[in-house]
Amino acid sequence: MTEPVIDTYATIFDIQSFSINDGPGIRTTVFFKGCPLSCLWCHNPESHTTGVQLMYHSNLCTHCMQCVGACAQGVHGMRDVNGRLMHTVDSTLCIGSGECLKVCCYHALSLVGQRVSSDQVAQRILKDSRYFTVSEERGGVTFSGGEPMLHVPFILELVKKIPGIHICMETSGYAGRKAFEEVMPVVDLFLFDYKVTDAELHRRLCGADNTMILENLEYLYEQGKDIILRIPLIPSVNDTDEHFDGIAGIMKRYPRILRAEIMPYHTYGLAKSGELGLEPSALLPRQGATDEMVDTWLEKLAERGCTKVCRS
Amino acid sequence: MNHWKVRNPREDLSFEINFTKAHREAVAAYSHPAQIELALLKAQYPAILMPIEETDILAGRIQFGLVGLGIQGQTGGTGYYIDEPRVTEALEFATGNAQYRENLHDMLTYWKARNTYEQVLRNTPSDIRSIIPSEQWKTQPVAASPIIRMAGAFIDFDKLVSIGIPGLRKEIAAAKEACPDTGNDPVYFDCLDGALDVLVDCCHAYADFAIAEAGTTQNPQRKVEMQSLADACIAITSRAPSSLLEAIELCWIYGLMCPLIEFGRMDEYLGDWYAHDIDAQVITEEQALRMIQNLFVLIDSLDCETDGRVIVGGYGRRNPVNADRFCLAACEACRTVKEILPQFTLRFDKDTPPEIWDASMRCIGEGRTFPLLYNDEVLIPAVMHAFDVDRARAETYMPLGCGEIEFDHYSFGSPNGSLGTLKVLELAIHGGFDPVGKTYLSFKSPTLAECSSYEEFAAIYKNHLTYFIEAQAKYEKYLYEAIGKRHPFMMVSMLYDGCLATGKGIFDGGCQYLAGSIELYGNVDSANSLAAIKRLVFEERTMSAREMITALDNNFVGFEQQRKAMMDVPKYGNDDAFVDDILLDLHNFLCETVRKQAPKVGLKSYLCVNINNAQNTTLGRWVGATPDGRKSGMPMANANNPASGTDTNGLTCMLNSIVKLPHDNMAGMVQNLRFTRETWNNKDGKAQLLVRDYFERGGAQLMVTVVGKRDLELAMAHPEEHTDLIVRIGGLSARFVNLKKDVQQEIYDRTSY
Ligand code: SF4
Ligand code: SF4
Repeated sequence: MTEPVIDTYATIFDIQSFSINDGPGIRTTVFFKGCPLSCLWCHNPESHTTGVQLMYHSNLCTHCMQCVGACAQGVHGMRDVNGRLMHTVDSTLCIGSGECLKVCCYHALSLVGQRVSSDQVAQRILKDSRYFTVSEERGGVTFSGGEPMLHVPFILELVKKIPGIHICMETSGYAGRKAFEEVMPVVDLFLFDYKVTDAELHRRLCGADNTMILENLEYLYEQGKDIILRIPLIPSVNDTDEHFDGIAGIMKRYPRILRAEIMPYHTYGLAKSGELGLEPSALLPRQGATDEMVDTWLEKLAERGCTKVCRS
Repeated sequence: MNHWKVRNPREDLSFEINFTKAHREAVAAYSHPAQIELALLKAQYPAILMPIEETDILAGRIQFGLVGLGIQGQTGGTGYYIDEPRVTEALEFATGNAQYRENLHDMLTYWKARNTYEQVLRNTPSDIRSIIPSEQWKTQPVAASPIIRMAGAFIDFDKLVSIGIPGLRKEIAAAKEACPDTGNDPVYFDCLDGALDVLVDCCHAYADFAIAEAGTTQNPQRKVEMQSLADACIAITSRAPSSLLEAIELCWIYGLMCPLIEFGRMDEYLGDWYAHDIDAQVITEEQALRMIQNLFVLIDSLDCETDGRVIVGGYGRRNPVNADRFCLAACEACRTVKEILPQFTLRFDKDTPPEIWDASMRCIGEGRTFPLLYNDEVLIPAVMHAFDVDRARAETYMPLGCGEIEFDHYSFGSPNGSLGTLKVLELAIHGGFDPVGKTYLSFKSPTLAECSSYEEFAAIYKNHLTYFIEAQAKYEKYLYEAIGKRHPFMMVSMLYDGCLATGKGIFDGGCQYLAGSIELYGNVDSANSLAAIKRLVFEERTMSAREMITALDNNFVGFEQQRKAMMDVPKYGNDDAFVDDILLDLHNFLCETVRKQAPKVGLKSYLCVNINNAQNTTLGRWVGATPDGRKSGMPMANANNPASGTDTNGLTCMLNSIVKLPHDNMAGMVQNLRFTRETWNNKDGKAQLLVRDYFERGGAQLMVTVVGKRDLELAMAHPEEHTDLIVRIGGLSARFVNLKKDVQQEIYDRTSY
């Protein structure tokens, strides 16, 4: 009799191949669902909760109304707009049964979040493995999210099945020390967020203060890990002089950090919130960062002696 | 019908009237088709040549008539043609006198049954006609359709440039002298020589245009340029070319008289003069570039979309160093002449200089889609196998028009039939019956509902495919014979191997490697459909064949759940073995079945192609709903690319899928890749590495589109066809079509071209 194999599961919301901006080389990025923080400007609001969520892409909807009959919860409805029936969605009622997806032939509905086993993910990654070697700088897998550090047991199981592949961890740094201790040996490069310098502002904007994050950064640095700092900059929210001082300070304190990458704010997250039926924060700018803003930011950092910075 | 790009087109139809008169007189006076053709060449040239335009530094504008002598649709028509709708229109709106109107009426009735198209169609043997009855594939549901044309002449420009008109005359004279020994007909050679007289007339006509332009311009520099252009046009009438300008003009004017729309290995035949003139300081690099740019503009002015190939690079060029120098300049011309033609094609191999590769990548990066990339390392062995030729011959391969492979001035492989494999699948599902046209288009067979296994159904489908393929192969052979009897195409023949030695026209026994090809459309959709049938009906048994057929016959109305189930079966393009293997099996079956026909019908080879053009859309229009979830009338997948929106596993898996299909048993396939500008221009060149890797693992051909403004507009208007478009915003990538309109607009606004 063969032993039943027990696999580990996690909820992810996407796997993106030919990912060229999340670490060296050509990569495959696994996006995990669930995040302990709740940064106002999040690009991936669908990653916040751990559960499954309905997403409605109004651009693709043909208003065929097939979904209306398919959903017992009354999520999908209709409304008359100038004599034309238009489809409406109330996601708060959704229980994630997926029945409506079975009838929508226009890719206008999706459920965000998929329970997957480490085997499934490993197999998907292995299909891409040859692409990891085409550049001089090896590509590989990037774990992102959401907060991938919430899924350390899954990740440890998964990396055993994809030996020899370069691993990047894109993290907010907000996780217990033990999780970092466990995962550290299998991670080749950390893409570590640095969001707000002031602890109190950090708490207000991201839902928790940054003490633990900074301690983890120090720990990983002390352990000699490769680190790239990722810096989301949101005009009139965190592009303060104090923050630029903070960034420059970190880069000075930890000279072995490979570089800092600026992630300019984009309204994409706002639009996604809409698709999820969420109300975005009133604090957020309704316009994305312009190229000129990014140039100014880079100048400010340069003034502070911080040169290992680029835009992502 | 083309609208040749000339600034002041001829409005009245006196050329057409004269041409008709000339034909009437020629058939009364002569019996040899070459004599008739010569008379018609005289009637057509230089009459249809047009003046030099202000922006041109080369002579070479032309406007083909509504009646005339051509070789394929884009040159007006095949053989003696008439554009009936436009002549009729001219008649309805004619302003000329009574005599003029009588002439137009005469023209219509004269050509009605005399034009080559009509004659070829009418005489098609009934055993072929009964299977492929209609060439009206645009307006009628058909499974397979004949295409009347002689597409793809690649003449020996290299020889033309090296020996010139006098050299050709000498060869003709020698062949004529040998007639008593060879048994060839001397009349044919007299006609060839006569055709060269017409060519000389054309050179003089352009010289006159140049002199006229020199006389009118106030610009002293232009005066000088026009004067030397006139000198060049006159010089080439009596000696071989001795400069780049002369070489270009000779090739161009000769080409117009074929009439030709493929421009072959331009780097080989122009490379030496390019290098010579620059090295000898006859002209500067800038002047040479201007000439090439203008040559490209002239090619574009022929308005022969899907053709107009200029091929550079690759193995087998006699002068690689000079050719590569030309090649670089041509890349720059391609980058800067932002027209849809020429279809600039780079053949590359492991020795291709990096600067040529870089120049090509730059050109692609600017959204030109050119050069189309052909990998010699893979294609040459594949071509050797598919066509059964040696390496030296294979190195002369030329992709014509949409990508059918031929050999430079040696073989002719006109694609004269198309097969809609998805339509055939629809027929097979319905036992030979076409639910769109409500008639039997194929033989009667058991329907899908009457099959007890997937294998049984697949075998029936293949029988239907074979039925059409056999008829198409016979048709190809018939067409060559029918055309060969009527048309010597002397200008083409003179520069095709074998024609002078045999004293015969290219399609009448002159060409030593007469081949053919059949265009396949719908293979990917068929494989996806077969996968759905296999999985749902026979493996999982979650849908009965009857239920499936009912859903299809109702175009899924009321059967959305069934449609979604069909859509959810794995689709080709995701590196999924289940469906990829089905396509592989279908692909190999089709390639081998087509290939087997050559000896049966008496062609050197007969091969299939999977290419890009609009037929995936036009043929799809008449195919009802299919088991891949495609709705009635919707387009089919383009060439061997995944059906739009179905490659959900991303670029890497799509590439994994497409490299599975072999190309050593067919005459050409086309792959498309699409990148956004940011991705393509990624500072580490990651997209280009992906392309390199694709070629290293056996990719034969690639067309890269770097998405510009126009593409984004299309994606906004038709999101369902652009679900694969990934854009970079802020710090992340997203599917363009999933973005809100305002975000899309913002991306559009910041895309600069
Ligand atoms: S089924 Fe899809 S396309 Fe139809 S109304 Fe619902 S969401 Fe829109
Ligand atoms: S997932 Fe289920 S509950 Fe949610 S909208 Fe669709 S059918 Fe309704």
